[in-house]
Amino acid sequence: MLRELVERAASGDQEAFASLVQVSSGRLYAVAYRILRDPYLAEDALQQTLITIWNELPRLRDPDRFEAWSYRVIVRASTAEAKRGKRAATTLRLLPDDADAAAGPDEVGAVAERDRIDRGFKRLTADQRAVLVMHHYLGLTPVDMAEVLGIPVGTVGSRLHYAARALRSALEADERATSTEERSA
Amino acid sequence: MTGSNDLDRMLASYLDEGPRRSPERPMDAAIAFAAAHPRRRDPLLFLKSDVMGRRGSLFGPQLVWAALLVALTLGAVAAVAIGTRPSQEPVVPPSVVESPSLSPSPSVVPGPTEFSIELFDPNNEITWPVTLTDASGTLVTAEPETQQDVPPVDRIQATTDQADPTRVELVWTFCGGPSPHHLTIDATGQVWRLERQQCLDTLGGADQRMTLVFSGPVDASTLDVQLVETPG
Repeated sequence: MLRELVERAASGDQEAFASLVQVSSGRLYAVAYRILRDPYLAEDALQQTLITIWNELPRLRDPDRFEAWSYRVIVRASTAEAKRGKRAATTLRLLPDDADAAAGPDEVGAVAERDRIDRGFKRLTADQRAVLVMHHYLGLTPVDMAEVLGIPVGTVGSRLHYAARALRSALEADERATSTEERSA
Repeated sequence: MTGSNDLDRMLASYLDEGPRRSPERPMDAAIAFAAAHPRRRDPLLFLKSDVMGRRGSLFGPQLVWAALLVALTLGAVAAVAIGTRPSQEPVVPPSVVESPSLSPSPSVVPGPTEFSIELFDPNNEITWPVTLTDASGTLVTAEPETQQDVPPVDRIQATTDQADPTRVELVWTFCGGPSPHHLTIDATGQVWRLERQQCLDTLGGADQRMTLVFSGPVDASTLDVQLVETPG
């Protein structure tokens, strides 16, 4: 089904391309959003990706590799979008005023943990975020990631290692800052 | 401390949040773009590389066709040379033109090119000599860049200039002390190795950076870029 759509779209069939867009956009947008953490930048990255797919699809020799290739294009578009930084990537997480009182300690702890990892994740570079998204969200193995990114498996391994290390450092720095604030309060 | 398993769990849970459906706007825009740019059959498509192929692959269609073209040219030259020989000479059968080899001929591999530049850190008033050895023959020049007050990179990072894809900015982590650096680009142009002495102390400073200019476009995201620290 997907293979047939890819082949038809590659030969210039616009109806097939529209179907391909419908079928693929959700998963591609999900990846872009998770790398960029900004819905507007993710939309721009997706649009650029879909246009690249239309322009370059005839050069995809094996239609069965469409999914991997489309991930490669969205990751590149997302990292390029992040570097351009057209808009300030500020996302506010609004909590009700009495959130602490209303929520149980487990929920408060979960929200605090989520916010902590959000701050740490946003301090990573776009390349680092991209490998973490591919590994932890898409569940790709380093071998699959190497194919998607078009880089050696060893490089994927080192990028994952440094990304995890950078995230851990960011979380620990955040933890230290929180402890210092609590002591001085 | 955050353990490895904790980190994996927190990250997976964090990334699981978020939208899974695309907004309509980019989809509509792409479909409209396709309608406005109908694709025509490209007669040169067979010469273009596979988008999922590795850049610089020896098995790329361009190289195969280029090799075939060279073989045909050699064959034609040989045929003309034999055809114009004096008739009294014994007829020599045309030399067999070997099928085109996919291995690059040593004669077309350019020799390594050496460059040398100096980076300057205005905060610490130190200069770093950087030598570059390019075995790919594609590096045109190297330019030092001013340090910038931006978040540091993780060890080393190469980025293609969006406006001019022949320019690649290389940024690597600061290390105190004006130790010499050496950048090696291998024959494929894909593996970049920046060597410097092991970082023992730091004066504190922004990442170091330089721009490399190539004879053709370079996609930095496909490069294998390494920062290697040698014992001091």
